[in-house]
Amino acid sequence: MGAFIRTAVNTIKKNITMNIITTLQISAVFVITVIMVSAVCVRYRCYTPFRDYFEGNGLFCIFSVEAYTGNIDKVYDVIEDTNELMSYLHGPEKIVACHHLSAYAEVNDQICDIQGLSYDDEIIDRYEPELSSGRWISTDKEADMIEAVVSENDYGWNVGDIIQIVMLNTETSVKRDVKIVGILKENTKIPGLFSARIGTDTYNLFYYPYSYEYEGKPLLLFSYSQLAGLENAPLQGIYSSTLIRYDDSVSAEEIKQDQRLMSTMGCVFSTDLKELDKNSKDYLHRHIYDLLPIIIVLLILVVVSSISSSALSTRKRLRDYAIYYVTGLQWRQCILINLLQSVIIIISAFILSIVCVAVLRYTNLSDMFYISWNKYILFSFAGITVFYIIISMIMPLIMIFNVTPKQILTK
Amino acid sequence: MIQVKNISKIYNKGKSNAFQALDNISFSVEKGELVSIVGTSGAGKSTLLHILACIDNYDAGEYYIDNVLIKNISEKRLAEIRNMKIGLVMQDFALVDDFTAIQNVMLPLDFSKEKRSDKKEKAMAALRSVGMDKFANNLSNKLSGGQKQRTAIARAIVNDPDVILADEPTGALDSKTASEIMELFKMLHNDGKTIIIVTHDKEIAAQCERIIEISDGKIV
Ligand SMILES: Nc1ncnc2c1ncn2[C@@H]1O[C@H](COP(=O)(O)OP(=O)(O)OP(=O)(O)O)[C@@H](O)[C@H]1O
Ligand SMILES: [Mg+2]
Repeated sequence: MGAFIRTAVNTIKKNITMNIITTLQISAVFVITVIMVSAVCVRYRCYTPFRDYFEGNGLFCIFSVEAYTGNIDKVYDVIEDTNELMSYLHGPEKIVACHHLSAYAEVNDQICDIQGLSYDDEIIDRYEPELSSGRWISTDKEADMIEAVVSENDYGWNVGDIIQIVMLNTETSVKRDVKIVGILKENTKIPGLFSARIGTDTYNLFYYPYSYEYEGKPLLLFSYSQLAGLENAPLQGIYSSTLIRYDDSVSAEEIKQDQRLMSTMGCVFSTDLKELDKNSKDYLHRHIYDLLPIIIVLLILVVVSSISSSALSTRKRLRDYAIYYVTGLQWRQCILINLLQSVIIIISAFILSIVCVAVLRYTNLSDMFYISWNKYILFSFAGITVFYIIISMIMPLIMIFNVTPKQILTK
Repeated sequence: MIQVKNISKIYNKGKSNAFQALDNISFSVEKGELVSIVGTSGAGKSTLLHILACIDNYDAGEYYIDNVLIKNISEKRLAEIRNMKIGLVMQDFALVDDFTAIQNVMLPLDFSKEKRSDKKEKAMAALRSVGMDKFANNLSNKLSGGQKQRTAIARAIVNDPDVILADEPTGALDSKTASEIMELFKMLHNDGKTIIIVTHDKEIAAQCERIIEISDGKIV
């Protein structure tokens, strides 16, 4: 092995410029792959949980509470829950919805405005926003206290704190203890709420990136079923993101009728999921469309430079391989030296790309590229590695198996 | 130690340019002998030596080294035999240019089946016995011709092989250096090593115990 490593290192050194170029090319491929794959994975993180809804026959709707009454304080006329909504429509199979909670916090006897939102169990179970601490709300019916996840806030609310929230229904308001179980990361995407539609409609409409700094009031997320199970339950009207799935037998015309009906019930926007899903898929893969050509061009460069440099260095080394043969190596084992060279180059490229990614991550540039490690990145790395090793071994294999050591020695 | 029985070698067998380089050669070399193989250019000396060194095959006959028949054996076993039983010295020294002298001498130890921790010491001892210990860490392409050949000889003896085979070991050296190298072979011979030297130089051959002469692929 000693002679192998020495030969491999010496060979790389002899052709250092070419090998550095190859190393840089491969690490560029690695870095771009990380950016591409993590962008796609981050996008899928929001798409996959509700994929069956997006891909099915149905509607995406946005409900507004203001639209019912024009006055947020007059909280009646709202659609209370998904069963009620279902009863109005042409027999949808399933509905998941976010709900508006009319509530405010009491801090030191002062009333503080909050944004209250509660989720159907299915949303809670399927999607978990990024938290900076604590855990996501549970759908466990046994929970002894009302649980909430809050956004960042200026009230010093932290995981484990118990705070007082006044919740309203049409008759009364009740002050309740709420236990904070988790804190949302600033700007993390939460289901529900809504902003102006920009560009084409994608699954992103289902989410809203909540920023305390921008909104100016803390967001509190609850479990709909937990609040609905309380005595004197607060009013939780269907609000913002709602996904409705129909059986395939329900016709487009019937769905259109439902859309018209809902628009008189506070639904401010609704769209067919087929169109939304098509746009979503384009959006999910846009980074692949954008970056794949660059990767392919780089890979072609890698192919050209590694094939030529491995041919060149093998030709220079053949006599040495013949010497190894004479001193006790099998001829085909000489190929291991070339393999070792490829391994050294790919490891250097790997280390270099890790350093680049770390730099991208911890400098301002990280806003441009969201990088998250996942198994798909490792799969791509493995694929690139295997590809490079095969490419770089082609010429050495051909050259070594086309001559005998005796021919080389007696030349 | 070495037995060659009725060996024939035909280059390009079955083709129009077929050429019989060795024709029914038989001889044997005992342990501790210093033998030279002589003959004119093209006589088949190198062909014979390559067969003895297990880097070429033969078409008929039998070749035994240490009573092992070298015929139809695996690549792996052949490599082991080259590594453990044979030390080869070539006219052009066959050193790895960008290795130091000691790195070159360590090659047979690197490729040996038995893993040892004293490779450096062993290589150093071999270099010392050819008077090259002072140049152990010099790059081999910076050595003089005589120093290169001494290094090659150190490599040939480092695994203590059954036989040392040399193909024109002095062919690329001036006459003074050539006789120094010959002295070295004689010294190794006195230590009990078995040595076969191929040469067309009558003076060199005369210094050996026995001369095998071949002409047109036959022993004369
Ligand atoms: N690979 C080969 N293919 C065909 N013919 C060969 C081959 N190698 C050697 N020969 C021929 O075999 C004959 C013997 O060659 P060999 O190299 O053994 O001669 P030699 O005695 O070592 O000569 P020299 O003193 O010039 O080294 C020569 O005529 C040579 O042309
Ligand atoms: Mg010859």
